[in-house]
Amino acid sequence: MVTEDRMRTLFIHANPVPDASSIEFDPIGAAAYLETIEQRSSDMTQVESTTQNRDTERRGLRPLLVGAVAVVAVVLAGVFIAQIRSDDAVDASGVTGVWVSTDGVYIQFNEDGTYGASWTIEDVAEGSFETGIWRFEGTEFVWVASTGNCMVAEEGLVGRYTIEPIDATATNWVPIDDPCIDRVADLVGGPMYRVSP
Amino acid sequence: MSAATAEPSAIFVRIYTDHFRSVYAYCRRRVGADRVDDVVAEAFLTAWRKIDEMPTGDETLPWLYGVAHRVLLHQWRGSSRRKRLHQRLVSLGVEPASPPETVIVANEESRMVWEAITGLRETDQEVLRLSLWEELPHGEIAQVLGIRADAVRKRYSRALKNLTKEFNKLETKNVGSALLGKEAGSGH
Repeated sequence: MVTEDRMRTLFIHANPVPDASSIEFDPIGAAAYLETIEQRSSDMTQVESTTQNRDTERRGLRPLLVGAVAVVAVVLAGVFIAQIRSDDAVDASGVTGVWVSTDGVYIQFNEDGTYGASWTIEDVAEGSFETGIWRFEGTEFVWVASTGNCMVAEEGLVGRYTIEPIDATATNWVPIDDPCIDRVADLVGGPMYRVSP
Repeated sequence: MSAATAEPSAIFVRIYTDHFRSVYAYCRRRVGADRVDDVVAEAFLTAWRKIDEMPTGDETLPWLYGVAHRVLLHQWRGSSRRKRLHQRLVSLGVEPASPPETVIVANEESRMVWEAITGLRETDQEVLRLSLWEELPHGEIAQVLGIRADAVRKRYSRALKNLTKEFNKLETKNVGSALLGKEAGSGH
């Protein structure tokens, strides 16, 4: 069993580039690199300028197009919202089980209102990097950490989310309010997928 | 304080010359040799675009690390699924042709350190690397990661504790596997 002091030493020794001064560097390359960047920026400016010219030509049609697009968008949004509302809202029974985020974080929500999070499904019950409690308040999903990065001064940060069903096994977790940046980062990268009930 | 009082291109060449090695080492410590040139180029390109915001003096390097960190974050998010797939293939006994990250690993202990650190969250991993590999003080780590210095101190201590736990777990697992192998080899 290693101690934290020993771990610190091992970590320092695991540095794949212990000495930055050993890296080869060509000072002439700096100017050449800048030239490449400026060329790229100039190409981008030309593309933008061409696009702007085309925009000017189309300006006469713009108000009509914008109006039409706005009407279609409002109609589609109405249909979409109506469909979402008619879907079954996600409740406690819909959350319990193991989920994996798009970024590969496994989270197990237990029936007793506790949860654990980990990088691997094997460790998820133990919650190797976060544990805590969860509940619903109306349609809002609320979770409070007991261990891990969402703890500040021994108190768990409270996260509030809306869970939007995509299909039977996928959901989007939309933060309403969550001061814990790690938890937000775990969830906003894409849908959460159910791994097991 | 901004560095934009002199000619931007002159500032850039000086910054590039002064800090190329440090930024390259920072990136090489985090990605494989096959991707490091792209990441460094992207970091300096971003730095050039934001040259008006670039601080001067001792704050320049942490600022450049912060730029490189954000470039890497985008890549890590995209590659995390590939990593999971890679781990799954390895667990099934299938060795993928090209692992997602190829790092220089000096010995078995270092390999275990690298394996153990993947059990930590990205920000915690980064706090340890910035502190122990780039040797930045907590105030500068806070600047790189955009968090408060007292939060860095807490994260560092928690990350080291968790890394030790993960490492010991791996060591116990490896010792167990070695013992099982020995028993099987002795014909029992």
